[in-house]
Amino acid sequence: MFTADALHPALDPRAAALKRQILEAARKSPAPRRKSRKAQGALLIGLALAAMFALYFQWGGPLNAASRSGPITAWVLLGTALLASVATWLSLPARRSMLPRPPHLLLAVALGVPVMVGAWLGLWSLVTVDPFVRFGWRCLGLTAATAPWPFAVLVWASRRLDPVSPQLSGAAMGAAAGAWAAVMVELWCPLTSASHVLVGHVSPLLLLVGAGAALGEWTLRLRRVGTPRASRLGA
Amino acid sequence: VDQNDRQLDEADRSLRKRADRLMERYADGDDSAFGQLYDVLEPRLTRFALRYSGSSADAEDVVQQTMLQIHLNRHNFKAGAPVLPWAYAIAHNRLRDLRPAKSRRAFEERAAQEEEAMSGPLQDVAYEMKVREQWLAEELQRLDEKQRDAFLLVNVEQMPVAEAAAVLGISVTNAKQRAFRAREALAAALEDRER
Repeated sequence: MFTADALHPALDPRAAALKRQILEAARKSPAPRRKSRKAQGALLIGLALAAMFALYFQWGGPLNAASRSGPITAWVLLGTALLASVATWLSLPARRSMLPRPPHLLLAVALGVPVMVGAWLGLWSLVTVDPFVRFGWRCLGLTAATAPWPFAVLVWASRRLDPVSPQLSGAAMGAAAGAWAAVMVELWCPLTSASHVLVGHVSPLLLLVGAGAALGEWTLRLRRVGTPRASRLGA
Repeated sequence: VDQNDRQLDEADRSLRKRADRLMERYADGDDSAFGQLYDVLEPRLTRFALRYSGSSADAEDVVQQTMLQIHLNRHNFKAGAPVLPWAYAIAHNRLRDLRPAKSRRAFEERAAQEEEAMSGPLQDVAYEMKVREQWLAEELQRLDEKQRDAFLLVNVEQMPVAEAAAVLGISVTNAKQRAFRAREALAAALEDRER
């Protein structure tokens, strides 16, 4: 009864009409052909980096962390950048796929990044002494101001394309963007005490995960194409 | 049976390759490939949507939406990506939005209409097939919707479990479990029916 043949164009005039309507609708709203998005992507990444560094210098630049030794700064940044790279890779669809990563992976990124950033910074408190005490509001602010730029790049890469789990993808992208923001913030902030890390470095990442989930639903979800229902087109 | 399965696998692989080739051509700007891509994808999408919703109007809407999404996003299509799982994921997304209780009602209305319309010498021959199909469709509608999703993709559409899991946004283990439970439920229902 419910077989595909029942609607096959060769056997069913209604199916033939549906095909005509779809081809006609496609013809009426031409879509651009595929071309390399590398240049566009590189431009966006460049703009995001410029915005992030502008904020970093606006916040005071390298002077704030001048008391921390160069090798320690390099190691802290290297670890965070590695984490951010892995989070970015996992939050986007695989190279030869149009579908998002499995939900458990996306969830692991969304929840794992804040924990790992906190743990990584916390580790350094064993070998460094904080040069001053801060509650962490400025780090929170800098993270919140810096993260939207990499988030925008990630959303651009898969906007309106996720038919499966846009909220989870958005949450994972929020975490990945937060990790890139953390790289900038750690370039600026030499503090590693637990309370400071929790307030200034981990809590903004958790906020970004939540914001990413909310924005993901809005920016990544595949939307219904604005056409009348096929059944009303006079098939 | 093995040979038959192998032939089916071969046919499925060849269809997938054809769909992928056509999508590549279409993404690269060959507009004539869209009609051919439609011919390859439409029967599978229609079958999936009909089994899922039981409504031909919904199935047509889902096919239309899926094909137009593929068209509108052709510039975003990644080189070397398979098109079939993407198409199923879009179709499933649309079907989920359509999913209200009306799908069952639509199924029953359609079944009644077809019964009325059926006449002629093939009526008797087709009757048993129709009854079986109807029974399966009714049982599918009775299944837990998550189990039905997995069963339709893995067992009816013969999709690899990993691919079905990606389409549904669940883990591979979860997809296997859901399809297995659906099969168990259908087997139990069949047993009851034959008693």
